[in-house]
Amino acid sequence: MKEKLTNIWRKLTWSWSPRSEREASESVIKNFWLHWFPSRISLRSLGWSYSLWLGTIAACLFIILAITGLLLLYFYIPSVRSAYWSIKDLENVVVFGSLLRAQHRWAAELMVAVVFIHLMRVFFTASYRDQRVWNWYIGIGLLVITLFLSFTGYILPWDQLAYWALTIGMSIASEIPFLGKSISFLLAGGNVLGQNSLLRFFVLHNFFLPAMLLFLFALHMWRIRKDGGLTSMDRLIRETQLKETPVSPTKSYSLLGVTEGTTIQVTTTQVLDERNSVRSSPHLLRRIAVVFLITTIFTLGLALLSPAPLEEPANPSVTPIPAKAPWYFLWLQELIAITTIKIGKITISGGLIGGILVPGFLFLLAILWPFLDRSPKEAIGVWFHKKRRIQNSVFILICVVIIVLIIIGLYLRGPYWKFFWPWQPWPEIPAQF
Amino acid sequence: MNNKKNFNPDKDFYWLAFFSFLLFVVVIIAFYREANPEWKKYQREFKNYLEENISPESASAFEFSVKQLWLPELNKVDRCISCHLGYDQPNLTEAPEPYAAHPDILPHSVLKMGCTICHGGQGFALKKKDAHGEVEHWEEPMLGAKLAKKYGFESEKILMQMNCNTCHRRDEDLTGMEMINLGKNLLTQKKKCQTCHIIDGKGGKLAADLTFIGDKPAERFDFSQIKDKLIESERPLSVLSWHFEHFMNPKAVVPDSKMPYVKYTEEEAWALAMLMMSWRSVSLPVMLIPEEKREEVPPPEKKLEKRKLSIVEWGKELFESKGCSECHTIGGGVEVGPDLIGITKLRDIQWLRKMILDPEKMEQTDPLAKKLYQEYEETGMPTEELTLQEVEAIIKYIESFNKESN
Repeated sequence: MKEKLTNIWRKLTWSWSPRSEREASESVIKNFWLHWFPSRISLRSLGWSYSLWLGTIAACLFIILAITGLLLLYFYIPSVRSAYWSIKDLENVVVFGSLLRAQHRWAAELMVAVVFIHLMRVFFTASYRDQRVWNWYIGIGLLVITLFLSFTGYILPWDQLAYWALTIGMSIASEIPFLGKSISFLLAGGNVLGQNSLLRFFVLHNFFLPAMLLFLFALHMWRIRKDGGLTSMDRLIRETQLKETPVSPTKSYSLLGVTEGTTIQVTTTQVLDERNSVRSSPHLLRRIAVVFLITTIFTLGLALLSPAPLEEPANPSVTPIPAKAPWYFLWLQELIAITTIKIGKITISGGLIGGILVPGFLFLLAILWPFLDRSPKEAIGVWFHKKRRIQNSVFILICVVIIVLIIIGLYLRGPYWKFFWPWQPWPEIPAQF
Repeated sequence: MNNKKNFNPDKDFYWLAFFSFLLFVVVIIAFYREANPEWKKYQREFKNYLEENISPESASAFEFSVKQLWLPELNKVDRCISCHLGYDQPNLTEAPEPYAAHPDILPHSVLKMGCTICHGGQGFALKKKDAHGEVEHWEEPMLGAKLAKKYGFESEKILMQMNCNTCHRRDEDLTGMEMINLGKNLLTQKKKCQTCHIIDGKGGKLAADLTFIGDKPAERFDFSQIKDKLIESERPLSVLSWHFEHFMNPKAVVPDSKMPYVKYTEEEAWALAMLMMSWRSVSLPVMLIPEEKREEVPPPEKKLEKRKLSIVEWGKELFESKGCSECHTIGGGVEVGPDLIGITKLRDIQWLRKMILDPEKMEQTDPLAKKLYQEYEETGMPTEELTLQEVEAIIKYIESFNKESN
């Protein structure tokens, strides 16, 4: 009787059950979710303090964004005439509409921040070197896509915030030498912002950018495995002082036998033992579940506390004072404002310096840095290694400058982009009535 | 860290349980909030009121829901009635706000027109502050007691007259629009505004076109001269205040203004300021215009106007606008050029057409035109670019005087 019941229970809960060890291991390999992770994970990689779980948080945020975004798609109308009013309806009468939009917005803003902090973590632990260069590039690509996803989403409500952020964005884009005008024409679908621009940004936001992000995300995850896991593993390998097995003349180490010696994957698995690692299932999966829960609670909580903003409907003839870009581009706007020089009546626009040259230089530096970095191998996988003091300081300086510029732009710039200290009240803006 | 002692798998399990519970709590909070919106509080109270003061039947017939007046022709959705629940129930005239019946406003109809068209505010919104427009990023606050108090008016409804006049701008002396009527009277009495300003397509070109001045956003007004004064006197920093100050003393607001100073009383200046704010561009659906008035409503654009004019009226307009009347009169005697009364009988119609169409050529080639040219001190008639239809209209206009004199 009991056996019968267990059989029924098994049939209900298991679609298939392995009959041998081999079948069981194959099932893991064949399963997308399970083969994503190694079978064993080092305690150090699993720890909260090494990776800070920033990549996982970013991925969780993306899942939240995909779900809330899909639901928002049912209510949003991508038309210059209706977009704003469809958001008004969403905010006012759609059940959970306001919450949905607020969570989408908070998750989006957090994702930009988390992806950037993730980049900082990777820099401080020197996790972008040697074989990891490719993943560093993919990561930068993911950051750029995240920024554009956030920006294109910002445009969709077609309110004053959106319209003028787009205006600023397009004027920055048109500063790109030679191609600028064509790029902004292509993005905006014309010389004037309107229905074409909205539709283009809608398609970018809902199809092309998420598809690109998913593709790069898959590559990113795959490369982590190919590169031997997190860089904390490199440190573990160094510390256990694994004796290199001499190259066997009869053994091939890769499919075509071209490479010599063991690959990083082999070394990685050799290092892990009962003392320093646990099985991924359930320990890693459980932690991922915890991170996902925390991320969900955090975004939902923020959404409950603060709804997403919606300004007046877009009005090309009224520039809001001040018109600000979204916060993650605000440092560029601030740079443009600082580098714009007025001599008498002649104004030299800082658009090229602040909008193109500085971010372009930083981007180029990020691309080249893995090859310019001369710090020793011991630094890999260690937070703030002594031998990396100078480059870490420079990197921190760049980050601090960016953050300070954002804070100035966000809180200290009032009407007409004038500077106000926090204790100075902004002048009252006239209203209609 | 390398030691397994530091890792306790149970701990993670407890974290998982804890955060699952926390998510559950947050979701419960979200549901609770969604189930208890502000409007429901008012609807519960309303139901109680019906139960206690009207009848249990009417209370049980009342259902909780978002209520709205959807007016596609006006492009409006007014959800005010989700809280202002007694608006259409005549037995609730004595009920307290927001449950009282709407006072009789015939020939207007709340059902046809909604609320915000007269009262202002944000019809979309369902929270009191949002709906009354007392929030950022909504330009039309409710034109009610609260706003009137800010401007120091005793009458609660006075500001609403601005919205009356947005539709009624071509009506005169309507009851309930006393301030606007005063403003309109000042406008027609003194008549001087149109010397410099264009209003409804007519007037001088020296100053701004005032036809839709009420739509001009606050950002495009210069407040630099009156900002401190307004803040000091605790009056709203608004376009309405700007207009008031500007009527009281134009130069105090715009130092190089050429607008003549007229000694208005404060009431007159407010009346004119409100009139300015009421001149907004609206497209009124035909259903809101009473049938007997439909023909009178001037089309919004001048080009359309021409199509609806009779040919004689069109000719009159052309006669004035193309410069004919600068030199010619019709029955008013000779000025620079000949008096044109009876000219259609005197001259061959073909000759007349050619003369209006291209007088410069005629004066060189046609013997009669040459003769006239010399007769009138060699002052040539300039060639205007006219279409054949326009020439016809002008001739018809001149012709119409013949009939009158007959």
